[in-house]
Amino acid sequence: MRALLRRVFDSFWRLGWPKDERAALKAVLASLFLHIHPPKVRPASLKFTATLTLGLVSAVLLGALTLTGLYLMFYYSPHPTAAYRSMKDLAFVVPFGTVTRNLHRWGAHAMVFLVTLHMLRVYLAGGHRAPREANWVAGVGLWVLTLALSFTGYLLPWDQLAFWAVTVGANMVASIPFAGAHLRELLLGDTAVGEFALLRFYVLHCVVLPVAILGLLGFHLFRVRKDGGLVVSEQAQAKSRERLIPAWPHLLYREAVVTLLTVVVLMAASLWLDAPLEPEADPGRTPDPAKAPWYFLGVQELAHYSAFWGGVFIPAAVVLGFAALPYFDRDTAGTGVYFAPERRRAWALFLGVMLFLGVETLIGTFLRGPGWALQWSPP
Amino acid sequence: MSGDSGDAPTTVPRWLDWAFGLSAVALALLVGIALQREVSRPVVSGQRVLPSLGAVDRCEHCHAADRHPGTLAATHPPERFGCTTCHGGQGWAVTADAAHRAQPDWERPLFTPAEREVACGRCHVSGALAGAPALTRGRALLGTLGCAACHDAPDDPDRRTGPPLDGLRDQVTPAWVRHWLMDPASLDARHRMPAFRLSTESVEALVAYLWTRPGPALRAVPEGGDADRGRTAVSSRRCATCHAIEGRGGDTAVSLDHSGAKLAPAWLFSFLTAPHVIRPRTAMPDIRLTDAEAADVVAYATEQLVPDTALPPWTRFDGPMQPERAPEGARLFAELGCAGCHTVAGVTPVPTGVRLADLSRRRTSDLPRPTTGEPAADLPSYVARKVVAPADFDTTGAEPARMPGFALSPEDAQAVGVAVSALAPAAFGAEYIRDAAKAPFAPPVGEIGGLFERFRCLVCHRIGGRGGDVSRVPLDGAGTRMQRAWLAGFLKSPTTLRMSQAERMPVLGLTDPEAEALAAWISLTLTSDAPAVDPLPAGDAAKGRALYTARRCGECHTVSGEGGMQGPVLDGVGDRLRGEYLAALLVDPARVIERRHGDRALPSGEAADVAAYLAGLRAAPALPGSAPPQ
Amino acid sequence: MSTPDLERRSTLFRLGVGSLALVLGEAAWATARFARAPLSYGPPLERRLGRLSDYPPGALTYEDGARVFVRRGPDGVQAISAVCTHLGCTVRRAAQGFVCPCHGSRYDDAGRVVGGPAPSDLAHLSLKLDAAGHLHVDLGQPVDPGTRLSEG
Repeated sequence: MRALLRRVFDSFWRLGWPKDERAALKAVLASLFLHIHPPKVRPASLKFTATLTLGLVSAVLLGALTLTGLYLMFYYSPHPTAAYRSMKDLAFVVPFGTVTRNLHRWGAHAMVFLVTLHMLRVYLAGGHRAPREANWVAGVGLWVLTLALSFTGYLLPWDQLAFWAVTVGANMVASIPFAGAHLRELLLGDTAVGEFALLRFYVLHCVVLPVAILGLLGFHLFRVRKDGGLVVSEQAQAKSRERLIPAWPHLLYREAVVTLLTVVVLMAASLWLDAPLEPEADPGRTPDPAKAPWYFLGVQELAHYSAFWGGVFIPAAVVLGFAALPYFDRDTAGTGVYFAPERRRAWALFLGVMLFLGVETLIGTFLRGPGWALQWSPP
Repeated sequence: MSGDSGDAPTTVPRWLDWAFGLSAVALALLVGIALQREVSRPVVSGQRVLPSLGAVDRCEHCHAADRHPGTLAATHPPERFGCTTCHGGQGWAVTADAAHRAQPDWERPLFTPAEREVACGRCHVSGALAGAPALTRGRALLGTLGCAACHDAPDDPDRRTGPPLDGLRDQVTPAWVRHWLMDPASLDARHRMPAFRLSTESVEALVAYLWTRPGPALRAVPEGGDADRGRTAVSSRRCATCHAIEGRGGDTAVSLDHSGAKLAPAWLFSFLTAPHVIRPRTAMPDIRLTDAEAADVVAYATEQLVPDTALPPWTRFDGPMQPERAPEGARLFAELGCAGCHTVAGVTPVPTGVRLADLSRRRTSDLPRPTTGEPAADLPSYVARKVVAPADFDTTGAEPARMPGFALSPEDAQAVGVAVSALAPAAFGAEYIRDAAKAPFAPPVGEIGGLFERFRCLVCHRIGGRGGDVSRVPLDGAGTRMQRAWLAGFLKSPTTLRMSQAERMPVLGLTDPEAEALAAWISLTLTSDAPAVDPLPAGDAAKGRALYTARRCGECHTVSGEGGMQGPVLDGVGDRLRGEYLAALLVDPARVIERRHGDRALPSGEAADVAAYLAGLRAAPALPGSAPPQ
Repeated sequence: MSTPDLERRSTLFRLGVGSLALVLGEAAWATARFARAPLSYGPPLERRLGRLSDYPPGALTYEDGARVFVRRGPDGVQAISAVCTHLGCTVRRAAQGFVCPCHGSRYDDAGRVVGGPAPSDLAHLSLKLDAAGHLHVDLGQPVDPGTRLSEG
């Protein structure tokens, strides 16, 4: 019997716990789950400052969101008559309902924030430059998908915040010249946010966008390895030619620790901070001010000046501009070095754009009161 | 974390072991905390799902349903009505705080007592409710105050609660109108016209406009009126049932004090002789005063119904007219929505206020805040304050303000608040809605309709849920209770049956055929399902008389001038009540439709004797103060 | 080339692995709890049927909302569940008794199994009469087949 169990176990894990470096390399290469890692890595890539662990933490959060999202789907019903009731059931009746929802909500906020920081860090390190252009474009795609996932998830609780944030968001789409009204109806499935919008957002949030983001993430990680690992400076590259170290255990162990710490922090936040919920969606009663999700408040702030220019044109230009960056930034000097003096103009411009969006977001979040009027004390 | 910088490491650094071990332990602990919280939380039980009320109530998680006190729970079982339908709060919640108090995600805490009456009104969508006095009073007030004139249905002439103003110039002086518009309370403590907070200029403009409006032609007062005869006529026609005279009398109509100084004699004479010509929609019945009688009443008014002081109080408002301001007055008249209450030929009223049903959908947190003092605790309180003191919510300070203030007692104001809050239709299933007004009594047409119209029966009497409440007993079933001959006699010359009641049926001046026709109509139409009681055997009147004393009927009833004043006088009851009704009243009072006599049933043997005694009481009805026969 | 330190067996490492195993156990328990929330939005087990007068004497009437047959006999009223005891399909009235369309279970007029795979007789359900004259059936309360609601 014991031998049988042994045979079953070995058939899945052929190599056993690696005993030497050769076995460790083989373990990484032979495993479906591990082979996205290179068998050997540069010591410089393992330094905290090389990555700030932002990409890994984002990926861990995506995993946590997928899992908690799956749990939530068991009690969530995407219909206006039942969606808000689902929130109340999770809060009051379902065992671990509150903590599951908290994990999902805080995880989503953290992911939007960290993916943005990750992109900023990669740019500052010159990670978008050849040969990594395609992966940078994939990264911009992941950023957009993250925002889309967050936005579609925002409607699902069917509370006032959700309803009006999505109403405002959908009307920004409507300001696109010519096709705007059609696009808006395509997004909502109706002329206003209602039954079909909820169902549409649910399908997008739970099926379409997760499949897309997981697929694109696979490509993203695959290209990290194929593009020669993390971007490092010339100097570090020269040094590492002398010596690479095996991913098992050096990289994997670190990843395990970062994963654990991420989950610990998320769990702690979810145990003691409850996700906000507002009164049930009421199409007859707009809260004042009606605000989009925080990560879109910069866009809403811009849209406040002009729905099309601020709400559609500038955001689209930023996303397309980001995606196009590596094809214009063809220099190689300063790659792999933060704030390299050779690239001062490039990173200053990028920081400027990010800072502008950040400041607009802060204004939209804290300094806009009823009637979208400026107020000097945060609400 | 850069402990492994420098040369390529070959061993995994020690701190990673620490980080791994400690964070794994921390995670186990955190998940353990979540488990511990879940285990210490009782499993939710006792959920009531009532889809057609939109309620999911988990109140019984803490509150045991079988311990609901009071009688309402018997007629409103929680299995059918849930808890939050009547009590408010968040039914979904299973913690006291979330269920009872306002939360970020649930703005409506448990109902206040006023809101509980509002909740009654969301299913019982019309009519009076014994368990909800404020709602009942408020619904009556909504009609009499004329709220609909500005808010909901200004074009409905039935809702106009004020007099028509065409011909006002023939009725009173400009000074009186100025006084009335500036300070109606000092002219009539029970006045109905709300205060519009008008400036002197606005008042002048309105007076100038009203003085351009001609009225119906008046007749001159004939010579020979006598004040004393007039006084007697006012008394014998029982005008005081509706009008206060010398400080005493009813409040259904305007006080007659000072009317001699206020009203032009020609107008008063014309009105008394033909009220429905001068004021087609007045509540005043046409009691057929002759010209001579009317002249006497006018003389009485001009000589005696005047202020004690030499000059009436409004003389201080005497002053020149400013006819050039009439156009401004016309504009004000339209803007303020005056036409909602006061008919003026050629002016179509438009709604100037919010729809009350919309107002009643507002949540407490969305209500306007008063400029001074605490914001309202609930919607009824907000409405109560708004109707009494609209200026408290006026942030514009515009003159004249559109919403007038009503002189209401705090209880009445609160009642109006309750009734207004209950106007929003509830999204409840039809099986829950109780509509008392579904089939309201329609006044008859034809000859009887003409009598109803002339004598304004429904001003005082209630039939089928419609009509006034000056007479305390509805006329429904009167035909089953009263004998037709007695009814005819009463209509011609009404006697007083209830000594405790100040309101007496006025002497309307019906002709014999009219009284006969009306009595016949009542006997045939206003019937109720008489409770089935076996006919009583012949009884012994002498025994019945003894029983009358033994059963202490005299505590409430009067016979031959002796006894209590609670119940009706029993002299002549044998001519008044129908035999079957009398028997039912004695044997099975609980099943008699108005539930009079409560549960004081008599055994049928005794009832037969008492009935025999009462049937013999055919003496001429005793007038108040007259000596008992013998 | 020195051998990397692959075989970590320090106390802290073991503690960490042990804690993770504990977390897995905790998560499994939590999942089991999570999956069994005491929620139900289905219709109540007690259903209101028609008035007594809606059922012709001596006849068998099918109530599709509650999936019961109501029989008004000379000795009183009874409710027979129309749910086949085999796999829960709704049985049909046949010339003699009831037949299940799914797998051919057959019952006699009193609901007793006479053929097919059904393991037991059709359930007889508790009936009562409310003040307004409506019959109520309690789908969660089977009663003895001899039980009748008297019409008195």
